[in-house]
This record gives sequence, C-alpha cells and structure tokens, in this order.
Amino acid sequence: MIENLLYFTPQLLLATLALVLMLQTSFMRAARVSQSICMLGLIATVVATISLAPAQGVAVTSLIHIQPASNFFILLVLASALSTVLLQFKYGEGSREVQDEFYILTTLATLGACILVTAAHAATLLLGLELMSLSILAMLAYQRDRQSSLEGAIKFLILSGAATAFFLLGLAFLYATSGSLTFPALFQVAIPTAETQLFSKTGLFLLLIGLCFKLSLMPFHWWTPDVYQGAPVNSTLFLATVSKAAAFAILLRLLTIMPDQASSLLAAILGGVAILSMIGGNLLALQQQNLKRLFAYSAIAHMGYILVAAILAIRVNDKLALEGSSYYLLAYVLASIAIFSTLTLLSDKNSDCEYMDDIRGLFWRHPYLATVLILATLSMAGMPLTVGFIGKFYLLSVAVEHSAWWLISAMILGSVIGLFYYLRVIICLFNQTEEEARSFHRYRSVWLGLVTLCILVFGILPDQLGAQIAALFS
Amino acid sequence: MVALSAVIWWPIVAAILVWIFAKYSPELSRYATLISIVICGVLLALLPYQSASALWFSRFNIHFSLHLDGLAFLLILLTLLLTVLATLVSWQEIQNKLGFFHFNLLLTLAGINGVFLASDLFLFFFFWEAMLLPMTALIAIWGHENRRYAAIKFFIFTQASSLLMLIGIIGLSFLYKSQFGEFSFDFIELQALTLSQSQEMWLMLGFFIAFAVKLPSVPFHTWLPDAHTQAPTAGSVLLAGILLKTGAYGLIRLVLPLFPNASLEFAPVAATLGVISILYGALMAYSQSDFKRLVAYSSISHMGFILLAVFSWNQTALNGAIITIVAHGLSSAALFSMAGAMQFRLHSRELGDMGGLWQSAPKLGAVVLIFVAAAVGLPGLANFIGEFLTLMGSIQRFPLHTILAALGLIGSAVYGLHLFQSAFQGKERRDIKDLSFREIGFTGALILGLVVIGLYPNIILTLTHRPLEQLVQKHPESTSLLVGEIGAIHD
Repeated sequence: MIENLLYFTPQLLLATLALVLMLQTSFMRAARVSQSICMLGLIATVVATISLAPAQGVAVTSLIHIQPASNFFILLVLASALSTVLLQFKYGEGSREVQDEFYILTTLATLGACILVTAAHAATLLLGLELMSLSILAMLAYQRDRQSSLEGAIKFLILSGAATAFFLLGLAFLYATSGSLTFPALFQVAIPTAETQLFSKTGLFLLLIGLCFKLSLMPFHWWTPDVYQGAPVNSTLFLATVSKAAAFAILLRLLTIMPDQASSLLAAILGGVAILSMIGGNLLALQQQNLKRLFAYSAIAHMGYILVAAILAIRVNDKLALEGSSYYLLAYVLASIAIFSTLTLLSDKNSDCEYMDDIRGLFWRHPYLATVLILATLSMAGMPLTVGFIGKFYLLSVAVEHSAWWLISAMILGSVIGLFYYLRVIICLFNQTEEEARSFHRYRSVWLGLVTLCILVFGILPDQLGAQIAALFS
Repeated sequence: MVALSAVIWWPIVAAILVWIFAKYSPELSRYATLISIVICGVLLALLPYQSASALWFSRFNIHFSLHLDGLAFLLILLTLLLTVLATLVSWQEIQNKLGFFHFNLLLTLAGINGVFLASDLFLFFFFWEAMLLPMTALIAIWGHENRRYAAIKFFIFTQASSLLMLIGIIGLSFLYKSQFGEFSFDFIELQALTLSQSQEMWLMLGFFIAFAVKLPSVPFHTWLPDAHTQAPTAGSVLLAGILLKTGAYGLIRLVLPLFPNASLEFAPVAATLGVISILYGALMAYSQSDFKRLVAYSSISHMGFILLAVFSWNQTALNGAIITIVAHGLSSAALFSMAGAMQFRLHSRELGDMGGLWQSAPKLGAVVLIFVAAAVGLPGLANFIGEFLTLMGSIQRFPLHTILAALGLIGSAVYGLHLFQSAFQGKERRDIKDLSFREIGFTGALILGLVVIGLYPNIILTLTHRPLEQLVQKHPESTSLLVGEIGAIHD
C-alpha cells in the first residue's frame, strides 16, 4: 500500500506547494516570488507525473485509483496551469488587486483537478470537484473592480452550486441502491427490483447532469458565455482547459464502468446531448463579436464532439474510442491555451482583448502572435497540418467504426458551421488597420511558440504521440 | 523518397526564402519566386517514374507514399507552368505584402503537387485540404471588392464536401480492416476490397461530391463565379487552371478505379450533370457583363465536358478529358490573365466600360481573340481536340447526352464572340496601353502551347497513355471496349 503512495506524489506535491505558497504570502508579500515558487512547484509536479507513470492501474487506498491514462490527463491540467501562472504576473500588474493569492488559488484548483482525475470513490470525486470549482470561482472574480467579472462569478457560483446539488443527490440515490461509495460498486444495484433499478438510474442521470454542467454541454451550458466573457481572460484560459479536461477525464472513467442495463439508455440520452451541443454551440457562435463568447460557444461544440467518442466507449470499452477522445482533448487543450494566452498577452491594464476589433489586422502588426492565433484557430476547425485534424480524424474513425451515422452527420454539420466563424476570426487578423505594434516579453513568447510547435508537430507527425496514447489504454 | 518528395518540400522552403527576400527587395522576391519554380521543374524533369513510401502514422497504418506516373507528371508540369504565369501576371498588380503573396503562391504549389503525387488516401486528403489554406489567403487578402465573402464561400464549399470524402476514406479503411485484418489507406491495396452494392454506392458518392464541388459541376458550382471573380489575377489563374483540375484528377485517379461498379451504375446521372453543366455554364456565361465572371461560367461549361468524358470511361473519351484538362488550364488561365491585364488598365471588369479597345491596343485584342478562339474550340487549337475526343468517346456510351453536349459548342461560340465584340469592337471609348514586353512574352508562350497541342496532341497523350490504359482495363466490362483507339485517331 505504502509503495503505491509513491504514485500519488503529483497530488502531494501540489498540496505541499499550496501550503508553501500560503506560508510565503503570510510572511512576505511578493507576487514575483509567489509566481516563481508556483512555477517551480508545477514543473516539479510535471517531472514527477512523467517519471512516476504507472504501467497499469494502481490503487492508492480505496479513494484513489491511478491509471496510465490519468497521468495523461494530469499532464494536460498541469500544462494549462503552467500557462496561467506564467502569464498572470504581467497580466495582473495593472490591477488594483494584490496578485499573490491568485497563485494559491491556481495551485488549489489544479490539485482539485488532479484528484478528480484519479477519483475512485464518491468522496474523492466530490472533494476534487468542489476544490476545483470553488478555487476557480475565486479566480473568476479576481478582478473585483470589473463589474462583469463579479457578475460572471456569481452566475457561476449559483449555477455551479445547483449542479453540485444535483450531483450530490445523484450520489445519494446511487448509494441508497448499492450500499457502497467506491467505484464501480456504487453503480451496481444491490437488490435488483424494478424500484431500485429506477432509483439507481435516476441517481445516475442526476450525477451526469452535474458533469454535463461542468463540461457546459447543452442544455446545461447557459453559464458558459457569460462567465467566459466576464472573467479575466487568464482565468478564462484556466476554466476552459483545466475544468474541462478534468471533468471529461472523470466522465470517461465513469462511462467505462457503467453497468450494462443502464448503458443503452445512457448512450441515447448522451447522444442527444452531444448532437445538441455540436450543432447548437456552433450556431450560437456564428454571430458573436466578442471573442471570449465566441470561443465559449465553440467550447460547447467541442465538448459535444468529444462526447461522441465517450458515448461510443460506453458499452464496448473500445480502445480506439478512448484514444480518440484523449487525442481530441489534447488538441482542444493545446489550441485553447494558445488562443487564450495570445488574448492575455494582448490585453492591457484596463480591458481585456476580447472583441473582433481588438485583433483586426493583427497579422501585420504582430505576425508572430497572429500566426499562433491562426494555427490554434485552424486546429479548432480541424484543418490538416494541425493537431486538431488528427483529433477529428480519430473521432470520425471511431464514429465510422460504430456506424453512428446520426452522430457523424451532426459532427459534419457542426464542423461546417464552425468553419464559418473560425474563418471570420482568421480573416479579421488580415484586415488592414493603422495601429502601432507593441513589444512583448520574450519568455512568454517562447512558451506560446512551444505550444504552437506542439500543435504543428502533433498534427504533422502524429505517429509518436499516437503510439504513446495507444499504450495508455492497452 | 527524398528526391520525389522534393517536388513538395522544395516549394515550401522556397516560400519561406522568398518571403524573407521581399523584406530586402521586391524585385529579388519576384525573380526568386520564378527561379524556385523553374528549379522545381528541373527536379521534376530529372525524376523517373517511381513510387516511394514511408510509414507515417502507424496506429492507422498510414504511409507517406508518393507515386509519380505520366498523369501526375503532366499535371504537375501544368501546375508549374501556371504558377510561373501567376507570378508574371502579378508582377505589377501586386505591390502590397509582396513577400507574403509569393509565400502563399508557392505553398499552394506545394499543396497541389502533393495532391497529384499522393498515393495514400489519407495523405491525399491531407494535401487536398492543405492546399486550400494558402489559396483562401490569396483570395481573402489580395482579392477585389467582395473578397471576404468569396473566400469564405470557397472555403466552406470545398471543406464541407471534402468532409464527406474523409468519411468515405475512413469507411474504406475500416472495411479493409474487417476483410484483411489491418487498416490500409493505400489506394492500390484498397482496390482489392470486395464491397456490397450499397456500400460501394455510398462511399463513391462521398468521393464524387467532393470532386464535383471542386470541378465544379452543377448543382455544386455556386462558389466558383464568386471565387474566380474576386480573386486576384494570379488566384484566378491558379483556380481555373489547376484547382478545378484536381477535381477531375480525383475522379480519374480515385473514383473510377476504387468504385468501378458504382461508377458504372452512377454514370448516367454524372453524365447528365455534365451535360447540364455544359449548357447551363454556356447560358450563364452569355448573360454576364463582368469579364471575369463570364470566363468563370465558361469554366463550368468546359468542366462539364470532363465530367461527361470521365464517366463515359473509354480510352477515347478519357484522352479527351486529359486534353481538355490541359487545354482549359492554358486557355482559361490565359483569359484570366488578360482580364487581369485589362482590369489593371481600366480599373473595371465591366464589359460595358470597354468597347473599341482594338483601336488603342491591337496586340491585346489579337491575343484575346486567339484565346477566345481557343475557348470556343477552333480547330487547330488544343481545346478543339479535347472536345472532339470527348464527344467521339462519349457518343458510344451516351448518344443523347453527346448530342446535347455538342450544342454547348455553339453556346461557347456565342459567349466567346460576345465577349470579344463588346470589349474590342464598336466605338472607341477608352484609350489603354497595349501589351508590355513581359505580357507579350507569356501570352506568346501560351499561344504556342495551345497551337502545339492543337496540332500534335500525342505530345500529351503518350504521357498519359499507360495510366489511362490501366484505368480502362478496370472497367467492369472492359473486354467489350475497343483497344488501340488512340492510334486510330492519329493516323
């Protein structure tokens, strides 16, 4: 047991990091120092995660079960956290708020996400989810002087609270019928009668509603655009990547251990949710002038695409479906990091860079940043040369393999609608304007370049990564 | 492998170089672009026909495999020639962001070369999509007044249709896995598949729609007039000269060999679409008052001949299709470059603003007359051979369609002469500068090409003889076809 604790090192490191940061803040207030410590801690966690990857599933007490795939999701979470921390110092400089606590919150939210990814028990599930959500809430409201920031945060608080209530009620129902809180026993009905079956199914759906809310799948998406828009753009980055990746990882885990009797109904309902999200999300994004809202709706659509693979993984535990969803999630996270980081870099003291007009003609002023934005947007649109295309190829392959023609039709329709607004963003970058160029710090540009390089390399040479991801699920 | 793929990676390297050069001197960038295309041509000329393959994405058994044969060679050669033309026509027209312009031009070249060389369906699709991006940039940045609308429309039409092809490709690969135990995207291996009738039909339709949009065939043609009209001259040249031909190439290279039975079954529908395109394109061309739009609609008409020829599926008709591909590539590109030259002088593409231009620009008028005559199908010029062979080949299979298609020749004479008459004859309204030395140079070369092919089409047909012969043998009823028709025509 105790040697298995070794595999839990990433989470322990993050917890220690949070403590260290708290101590540091109470003795000496210096945002620069906090940032540096936070960066170092996160990098150490990345190293630990990579070097301590278990070859097969490892149980660390009954609360935590670490699978090879969990480490992959943890790495995604850490990459986004690193990006947020790296960009925050310069971004928050102009704000009246002190910046030190932002790093503590980021660390705590990351910890929550990492616990959520490895949860094997109702308690850890809830703990991870709430630790993540509450820390993100504070991050969203961090710039108190902006009205929209508070508005978005309150919206998130209320709706997130409601979703957690559903989630808890679902857990209670499931516990009532199964008598166990660990996975997968939680989902098995102890005494199968018509009534307990119904009870168990209800519990399951309430649980899924909670997760659908976190993934902002339609029709539980209402909060997404407002919160994205209101939040400081660097927190939006975190929300768009970390919470989505973690929630998706746990959804994938839950779906693969679903009992047989619930699975077909579950697939039908989630299929409806996916189709709605893919088409609805893209349609709503069409007319947006605000980039944050545009990418919020596009995130809804992307969660719909990725849910397709998850649905197909339900019954058959299909390897390709799991690989496909992981690859797609990676593509989504990379592109989101690149897009929101660029917007963060372009923001100034008083307002975020969030309107189409703010990036008009960017290519002629900042070819580097614009290229990052173009490649990331193309990746979102699933164009070849970028990782998004390989992700889309995986998803379509999975869907063709299972002959899920309805889902394929919705995916194609959604992608075509999506092209329209992605292209609008890209063409906007090439418009002619007369604005002066500003200079940016080099090391942040290096980080952006690294992310963009990943988008390109994984898109052009997918072999290595494809083999790695395939190994995760073998 | 390295040598063969140089046709693809060299333009990419050159694209980056000319972009850098443009920072120092625009002239340098222009000459460097020309030289790099010529180098690419030399590379191509040195390559023997060959195949090369390397594992690319092992999870799906996808290979980076290229195949060069006569057909690919011919089309790449045409692409290189027209890219040279595109560079020359933009010599004065493009002053703004010159480096980035040449960058996109050369990337388009790389993408198109990739499409013609790829023999793995995934790779084919990869290039098929990748070539769209720089092309869209050319339209969206250097195009005319309504460029953004045209660029988005072009992109979405081609993207949406190619997603259907992607589904078809994945479907083929999974069927291969179920029959042979592993994935394959190799297009020779995939021909070994046994498909049920409905599977073959559905998969074929996925491919067909993608290529019919690119060709384009009625009813998928609405992107073309906008894209061609709004694109800068170089963009129109590449679009009309090459991008449309990738659709024809896809039909010849992929649809017929992969889905022989479904193609045969579908042929009447495709031929009907072809004939409708021929007549509709001609009619619409006649009713245009915009020079470029007129030429754009005439392209739809000419592409109808290719569709009819391909689905007639015999050696004569396929020869006709190949000649039409090359001839239309040269003549429409030439007409678009003349349209560009006139727009540069007049700042208008409206035929109403022209008239009597012969007085001040007789050389320009003579050149346009020759290109119009080529488009009309005057014997002695290349297009005539293409249309003649197409009609001769298709009458064996679709007599009624062919008779109707022949009416298109009359239609093309009507719109062609209308174009020439309203631009160059009548009362003189404007004074324009005649052709410059540079313009005489490239139009002369184009005219020479059209005449040589028109008088001696074997120069092309010997190149494509073997690939087409193999294709004809894949016809499900191939034994019933006449062999050696190609000889009969040239005797």
